[in-house]
Amino acid sequence: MNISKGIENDKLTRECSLTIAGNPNVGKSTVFNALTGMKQHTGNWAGKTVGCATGYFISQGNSANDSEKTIYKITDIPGTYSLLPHSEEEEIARNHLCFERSDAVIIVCDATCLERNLNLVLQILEIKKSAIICVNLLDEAKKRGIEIDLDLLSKQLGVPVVGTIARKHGGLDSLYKILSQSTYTCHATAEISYPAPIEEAADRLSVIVEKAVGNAVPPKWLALRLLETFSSAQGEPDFNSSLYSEINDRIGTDLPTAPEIATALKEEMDILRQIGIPADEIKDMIAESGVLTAEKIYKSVISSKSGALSSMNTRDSTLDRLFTGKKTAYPIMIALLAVIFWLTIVGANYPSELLSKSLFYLGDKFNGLFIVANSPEWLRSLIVDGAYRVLAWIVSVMLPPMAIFFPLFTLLEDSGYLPRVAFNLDRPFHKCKTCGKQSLTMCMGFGCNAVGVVGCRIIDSPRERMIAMLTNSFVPCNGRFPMLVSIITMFFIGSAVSFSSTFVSALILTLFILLSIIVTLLVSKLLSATVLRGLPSSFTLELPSYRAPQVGKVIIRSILDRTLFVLGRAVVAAIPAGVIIWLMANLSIADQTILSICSGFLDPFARLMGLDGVILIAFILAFPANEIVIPIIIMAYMSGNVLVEYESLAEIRNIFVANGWNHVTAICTMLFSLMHWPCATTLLTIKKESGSIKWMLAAAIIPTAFGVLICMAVNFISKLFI
Amino acid sequence: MNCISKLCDLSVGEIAKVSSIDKGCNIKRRLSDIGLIRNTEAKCVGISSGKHMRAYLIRGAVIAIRDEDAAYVSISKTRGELT
Repeated sequence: MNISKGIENDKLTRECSLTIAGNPNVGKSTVFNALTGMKQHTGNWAGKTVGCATGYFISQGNSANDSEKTIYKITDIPGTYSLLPHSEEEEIARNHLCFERSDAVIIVCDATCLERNLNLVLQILEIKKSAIICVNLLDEAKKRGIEIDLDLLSKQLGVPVVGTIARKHGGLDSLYKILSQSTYTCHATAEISYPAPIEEAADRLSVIVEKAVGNAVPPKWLALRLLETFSSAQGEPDFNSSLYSEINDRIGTDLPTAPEIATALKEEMDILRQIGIPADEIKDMIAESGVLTAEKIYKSVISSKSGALSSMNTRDSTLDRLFTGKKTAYPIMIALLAVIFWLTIVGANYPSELLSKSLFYLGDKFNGLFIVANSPEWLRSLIVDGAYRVLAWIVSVMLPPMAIFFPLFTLLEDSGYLPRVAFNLDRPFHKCKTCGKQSLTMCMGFGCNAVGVVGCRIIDSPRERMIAMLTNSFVPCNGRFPMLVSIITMFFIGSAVSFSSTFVSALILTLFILLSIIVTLLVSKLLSATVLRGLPSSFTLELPSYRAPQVGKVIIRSILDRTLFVLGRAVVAAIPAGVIIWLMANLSIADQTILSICSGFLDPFARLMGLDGVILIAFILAFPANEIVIPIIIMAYMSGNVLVEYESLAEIRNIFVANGWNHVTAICTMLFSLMHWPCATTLLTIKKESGSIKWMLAAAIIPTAFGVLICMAVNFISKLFI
Repeated sequence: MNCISKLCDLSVGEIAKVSSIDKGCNIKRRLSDIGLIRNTEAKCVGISSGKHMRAYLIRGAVIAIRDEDAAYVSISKTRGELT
């Protein structure tokens, strides 16, 4: 493709908007990333994408004569099994497909379970005639002996079909090619075949629907939804109600209650009842029609080599027996947790030491500059002792574990193991009257609590979703791990950090995490029995095929992302906090520094909890970012005593002990770290997700209340024995 | 060996055909979304500890359903192991 300089300036720019849709966990985000070059977080479990993401790519035209440049705006929406949403994220997907203008839909399918995917494909084709089908994961299908005639499928559906292996960028050239042709005029021909009486009723009803609301949304499709709605069994939630309120918002007509619609609908229902199809049957028949049509099409394009009930991958069966077996499930989960922690601790050791030495060396030089420049002492102290040292501490002690844990966790996500955790833990969560999917959101919380809260959208029931959001911060996020590791190292390991001591560290950390999981369960149970009462809802959980994660790619990208993120947060949150502490420690009111006034005020209460005033202040100031707790404590203890060395953990331990720390203090600090108010980002996210300040406050109060009570209890018990 | 029983009665490796899904089933629509309707074949491929939840192979994908929900699905057992 050649552009001569002359033509370039005359290029027309065309805009085209595309939506990527499909079942959960089929590779939509992978296709999205490949097309746009963006880096949406993908993971091998249903529910990874919970919002819409938008990206762009530009195509220069594919022939010398084509002087058009096209800008494609691509939206990646959450996966959904059908257009009848059961959860918040599915509703987002459905609304986007129905109401957002887009020129074409790219429907991504999983070649290993194409039959089920075709159900959604057919449903989408009922409302969007311009589509391209992407049959992804062809390599896995091949391993199972599944062969699909893509050309025949294309003929049957009436839309282009491309075979892809998105993870390896295979088949994307064909996709580009089709996109660059005038795809948005293509017209699907496949239709779901409904039983004749229902088809006729829908046709008649669609005429009236069109008169009422026009045809922005296909009238026949709406007619079918109306027939479904009015056959809802008593007590069952009406999944289409959100659809009607969307239509009401946009067009101004409340469909089900509009008089002409209600009359016509009743007529059709009567007709159907008279020929032997009662209201309940209508709904079932409509739902089944999609499945049966999909089955028919699938059987015609699948080769006879594949078994009728496509046999499972033997590797998957063996791994599942291991990961979900009666005797092996729990031990493996706990062991895996311990191993990840151990790898984090070991991996962070050397970089930590290196960063620590270099940053403090630089710090000394930096300090020297101030002295040489004869700058005022307060300025030097503020910038070097206040801001720079906090930053140095974050980067050398907090950053390495964070940068290592996150990639390890991402690898676990990509492998497909997490849904097995949900499978194993459903029983305890069910006993606490919540949803097994809460274990997935809890796992997400290990990475970042704010992400875990957003991830709660995968939980269908609003009550259970709320419980999951409120308890998410009991699980320590990425920012809290390094603090736990540091305290464990300082107070529970011998003097030097030897190789075997890392095992002990990992074990103790694992125990604390198990404790936080148990607390999550107990608090969930409590909430279910009191404030958020209700029956546990039903759900289905998909167990995807295990996929080998792309180790190199994931690790590099993740480490870079995390490092930048932590550094950014260090600058935005840590430095100001360091400055504040310095000010508090150096400004006095009536002979007492502000710091000692505040910590003195909090001290009696803190002592009850086994902590001291400074520790509490540190937690309060660390509201924007949990990783700055320890640096603040150090700063506060050291105020006025700048000559003390504090480069290694051993030296910091000395400072702590000199300020009254003992093992009980360490334990209580760790417990409070697990159970206190969520960080600022998480709280704001909870407010946004729940839509209410009341629940945001509850999310702050509940963990804190438990933290205070448990610390007090531990402190009290320890006093009895010491 | 055609005995009428429920989906949650299947042991690992057994295959059954769905004969009906009771009206009272909370997830009836969800089940049809994933392809489990009348006359669909399902194979049990895993049981969680405590026999709380079972994993089934349905139309090429593995889906886990709680026994208390699967109890609403009546089946006729077809055969033991898939050839």
